[in-house]
Amino acid sequence: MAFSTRAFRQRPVDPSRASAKGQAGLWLRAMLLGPVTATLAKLWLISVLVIAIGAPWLAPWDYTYQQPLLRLSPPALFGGDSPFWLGSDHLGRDTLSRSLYAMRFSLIVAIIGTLTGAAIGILAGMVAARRRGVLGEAIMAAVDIQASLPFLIFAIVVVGVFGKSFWLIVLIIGIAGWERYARLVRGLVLDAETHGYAGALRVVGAGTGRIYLHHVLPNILGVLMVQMTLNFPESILLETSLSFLGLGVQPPMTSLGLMISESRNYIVNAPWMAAVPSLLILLTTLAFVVLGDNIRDRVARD
Amino acid sequence: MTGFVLGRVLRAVLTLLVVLSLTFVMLRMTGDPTRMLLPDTASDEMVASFRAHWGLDQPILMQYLHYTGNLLKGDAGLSIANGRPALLVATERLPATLKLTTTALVLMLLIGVPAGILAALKRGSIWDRSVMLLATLGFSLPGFVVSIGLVYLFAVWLRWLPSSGSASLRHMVLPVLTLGLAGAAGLARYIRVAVLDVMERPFILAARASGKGRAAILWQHVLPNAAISLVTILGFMVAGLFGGSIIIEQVFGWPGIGRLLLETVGMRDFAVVQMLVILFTAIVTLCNLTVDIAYGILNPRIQATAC
Amino acid sequence: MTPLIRAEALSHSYKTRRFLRPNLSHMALDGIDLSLAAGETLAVVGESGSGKSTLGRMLLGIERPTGGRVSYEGRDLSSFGPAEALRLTQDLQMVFQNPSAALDPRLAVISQIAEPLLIHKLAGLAEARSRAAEMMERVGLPPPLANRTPKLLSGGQRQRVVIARALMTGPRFVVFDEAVSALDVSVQAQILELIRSLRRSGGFASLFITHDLRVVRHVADRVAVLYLGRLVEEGPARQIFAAPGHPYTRALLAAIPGSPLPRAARLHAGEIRREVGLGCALVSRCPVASALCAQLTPPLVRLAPGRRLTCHHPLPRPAPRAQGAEAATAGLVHSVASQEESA
Repeated sequence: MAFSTRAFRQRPVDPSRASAKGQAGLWLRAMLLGPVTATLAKLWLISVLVIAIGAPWLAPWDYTYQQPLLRLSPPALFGGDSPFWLGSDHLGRDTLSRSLYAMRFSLIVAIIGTLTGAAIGILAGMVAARRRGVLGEAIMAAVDIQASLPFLIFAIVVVGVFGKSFWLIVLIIGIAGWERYARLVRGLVLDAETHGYAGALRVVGAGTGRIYLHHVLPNILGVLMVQMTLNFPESILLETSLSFLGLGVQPPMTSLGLMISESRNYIVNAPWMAAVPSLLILLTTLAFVVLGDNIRDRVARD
Repeated sequence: MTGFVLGRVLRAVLTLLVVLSLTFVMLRMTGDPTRMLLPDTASDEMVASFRAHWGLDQPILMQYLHYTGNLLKGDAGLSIANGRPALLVATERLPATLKLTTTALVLMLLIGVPAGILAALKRGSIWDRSVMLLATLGFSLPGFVVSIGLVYLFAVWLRWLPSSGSASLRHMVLPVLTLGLAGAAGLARYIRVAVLDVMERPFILAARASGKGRAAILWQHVLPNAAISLVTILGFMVAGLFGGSIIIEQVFGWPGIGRLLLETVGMRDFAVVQMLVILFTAIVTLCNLTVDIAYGILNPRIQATAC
Repeated sequence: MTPLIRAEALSHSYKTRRFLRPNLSHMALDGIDLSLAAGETLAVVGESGSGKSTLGRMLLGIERPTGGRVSYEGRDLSSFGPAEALRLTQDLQMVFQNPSAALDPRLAVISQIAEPLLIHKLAGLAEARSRAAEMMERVGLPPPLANRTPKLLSGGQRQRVVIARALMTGPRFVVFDEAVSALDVSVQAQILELIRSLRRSGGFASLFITHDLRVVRHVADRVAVLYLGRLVEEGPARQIFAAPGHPYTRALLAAIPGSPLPRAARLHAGEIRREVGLGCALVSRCPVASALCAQLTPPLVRLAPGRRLTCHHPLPRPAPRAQGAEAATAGLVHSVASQEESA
């Protein structure tokens, strides 16, 4: 076990040792896991937010505008001879404009979906903590059952049965995440009730509504924010997966998953059609994962 | 221990029952399939006799009991698409999915576990950072993006492998690679944390203080304890593999139950859809049950506290 | 005269549900009779697991007894409807062992002290805050602390906040559940002194739950000693300290560091009997146990008005030496207390 020597010493990263290997090594280390990545992640997420809000103004073309003579034009940015920076698709639509709108749509669905999941989960968790009888047991059984099964199957069946609509997709994304919040909130509320301020407030005469809204909720908001940071990339992945399978948003609206799905037949001639939305998904979820790891590390250190 | 196992089995049965009931109600909520199945010109008598024949004129509870009773006898109704038994339609596509997921599971364990251990043991080194970078990348990407990237690399650019189909062993490489790598990424992240967690516990310090060799500590204490946490995550991992297989099967045209689910949902072939949901749930629940019992055996503390 | 609070044959058993096996039940409290007059302070002493906290919670109606009843001003607590029960929380209050856990970590302390007035709609926001500020002064919290969160306060200050909140509605009965045991020894005496002075001015009756007899000596009029959910001895504080009648009480006194009582007075390190069946529960640990103790549960005997005992072999009336011991113990308590105050 040659490599076990260093591991057991558990030394924190020492920058001076890195610099002995040269500046390049130092930079690589900092880039790979240092706080620089977190900063980059934050910067990217800010631009994503700008895109989501400003897509109609940022997009150089109407995202549904078809120019049949300019189908599958290569990106002008990489030497292509076309009016499209990032090329055009099989119907002669601007990839850049479509990507911006797709980003906007995917993000809106993921945000509302995540918030929906958080709302359902918080409510269910509080009920499960307060009503420890049949109702509480039923909620926790539902949590366990959902956590143990692949949710995508149910998403597919629900969309297949009820048809595709914006709010159904949002609801599905919300339901995909609710169980984590429920578990988390139930634990936190039970802790506050049995060893904490919630139990003490009951003695003073405070009712459940007052305790949970005025005291518990503000106190667990931080933990919930962390959970939402972790949950958000999953929401994006679920939304893009569903639209990739044709179970999300319908044309002429578009989403990142749908764009990639459309690109599949043109991957040989127009790889940019797949590359641009893929890159956007990658960067966005990656930024959230990096940020989530970063926040979790910081919380663990406190 | 018997109580513990029995409790877990009961929970598995409950899971199946809840999923079965939920899908049954959901599928019936979209209405009576009679009108969809019969031509518009069908007479009222035809409709009535059709409904009587399929038991659709009965209250939903009776239908439900009827369906469940038949299911226990191995009859899950008939497929609308081709009139064949839904059970047969579903199960004949099962081997393809099992082939895909089990191979991917092996690949996932072969890559994810050593990578996670390596990253933990060489914590802070360039090894750790590279593994974590790759794992985080893989963890952040949806399966269909990875698959398209691999298709572009191996099928379009290098022309080494076919991009879709299931004719030969070569066709299996890309789907298995996609599914296995995605799982391995999540697993490596998890294993790294688990190993680091074990190494920080007091008994490891005590073992070191007693002068035990590093290799001995690793093999006798660190890895066995990390293995327990591997077992706890394995159930979720298997669920994830089956969820991911739906997308992978769609991308690569793999004739498994995931692709069948998408086909039959599109055709509203509800008998088969219902059967597929039950099949997915049963397989994943069975895996979870096995994992739970394995965990109970590995970790004696749970026997006293569970139930 | 009806007592303010009265417990009759009060029992509480916990059930442990087990899967496919008969449920276990464990008696936390077994047939306790107690009463408190207005303004009186009763200390309940016992080891952890003696059921003393459960007793306190049941006297406040937080937990329901599984047997017997609690009455407040002659009326059974279980007969109070929801609205009346809410009204009752103005009269019956509690101070907790761990002040950090009893306070909302995020909220300014003055808001938390004012909250009971808002809950019971006894005052508007502005008035509640000004009355909370007055209360802060009464419990010795300087005004600059008003807008701090509990995190920025010391343990003693936090306990003052909890006490202030409990007293806002002018309660007639307050349970102090190990109210000083989580605090530094130097702070304990200050808080005890505060409680004593508040009781004189506020006129509330209190139940002082503790495992530490030194604390009791300082605040209590009467003392009740519990062992495994049963009352073993009760009497005026002075008598209990001067002449403990029960070997268990004497053992508790002997366990105080620096006690002049002989080592023989202490308990054996025997196994603690959890199932209270036939025989005295203390039999395996008692220094004076006889064959009789293992056979027959000792009955509760009334020695004098307000003086009760459960023992087959009550300790003899104080010999001169024992009295010396009492004086020494008392002296010890006072010296500890004065040290604390000077610190």
